[in-house]
Amino acid sequence: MKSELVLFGKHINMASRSRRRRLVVVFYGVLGALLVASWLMGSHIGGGFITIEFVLFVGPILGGYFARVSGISGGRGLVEPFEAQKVLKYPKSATILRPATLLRPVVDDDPELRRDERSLRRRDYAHYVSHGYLRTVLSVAFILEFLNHSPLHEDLENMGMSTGSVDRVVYFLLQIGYILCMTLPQCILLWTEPDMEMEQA
Amino acid sequence: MRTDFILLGTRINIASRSRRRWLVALVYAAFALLILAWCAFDLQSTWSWILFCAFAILARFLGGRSYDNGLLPAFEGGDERERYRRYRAGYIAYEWLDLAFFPALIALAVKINPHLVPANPAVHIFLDRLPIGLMIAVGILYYTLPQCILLWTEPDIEAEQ
Repeated sequence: MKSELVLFGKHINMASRSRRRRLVVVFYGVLGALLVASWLMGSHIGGGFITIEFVLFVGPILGGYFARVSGISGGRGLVEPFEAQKVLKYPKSATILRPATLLRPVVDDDPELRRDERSLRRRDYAHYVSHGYLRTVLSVAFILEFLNHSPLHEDLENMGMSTGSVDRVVYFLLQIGYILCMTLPQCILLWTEPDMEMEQA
Repeated sequence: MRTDFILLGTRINIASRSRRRWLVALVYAAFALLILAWCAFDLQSTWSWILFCAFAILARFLGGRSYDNGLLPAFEGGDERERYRRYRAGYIAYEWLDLAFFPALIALAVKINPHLVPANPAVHIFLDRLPIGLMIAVGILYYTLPQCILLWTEPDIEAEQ
């Protein structure tokens, strides 16, 4: 993980955990506000794109999945890329008729692209935890959509939720789920990694 | 990880990795057929309950998470190696989940967009049912993929011993 964030050419020290936590809170705070705004604008007619655009524009400062996207951080996000090894090419024996061969590309063996064991384990753990957090959003969206297509949808309508409004809620939840899916592992790493100075000492 | 299970009174050995891979392929093929059948016939029919029951049985059968008597032990315990294998499986599953999530989101966006109402009734029905079909696929992948990745990647158990 990088201890410095470059934002519009300005260097910001992010070595301390408290600063990184503040960044995570601000990121999700702004995202939450945009989600509310998109709901009020009508996420079903394009309001939802505000949040996606925000994630694509600001997400690169987090790094990880966005590490190679050159957004406002100029492609230098805080969390190192989750897949450090750059794919160079597929072997000549690879063919679409044998999909297994496409799963084993020749990778760049540059030592600078290799990741140490500890950071790999931290990355895997962050994804494991993040996977657990997605459960709530996915379950609620799934149950609502399922009820919407079951004989119980009449009960939902009696409760004042038409088929269209349930679809809209589900779409909103899926949006939240997708954004969390793309950003939560990086934020868990930023939140949990200790102060870098302390570690160096 | 268990090396065998009993199906209809027959003991089936799954100690070898190739057998476990067959099992995973069969499970997902069966679910793909169930989802297609459910979406193709009637969303309000008994297919939905068959799908739910199949999913609940599969979750118990695979184990992992908080289920203790499945093919995999519950995810709470285990030694350090097991924990790392589990985290690694979680990471791989997460990437696939990400890929599965996006089509469901797009399908629902198309469905609820008032400007995109197809004139053809068959296309209309297809677009109406596509999001729930994809969401069920995402749900099944979410709950089963880490376990299936472990079953798929763990080496032959005899060879390891």
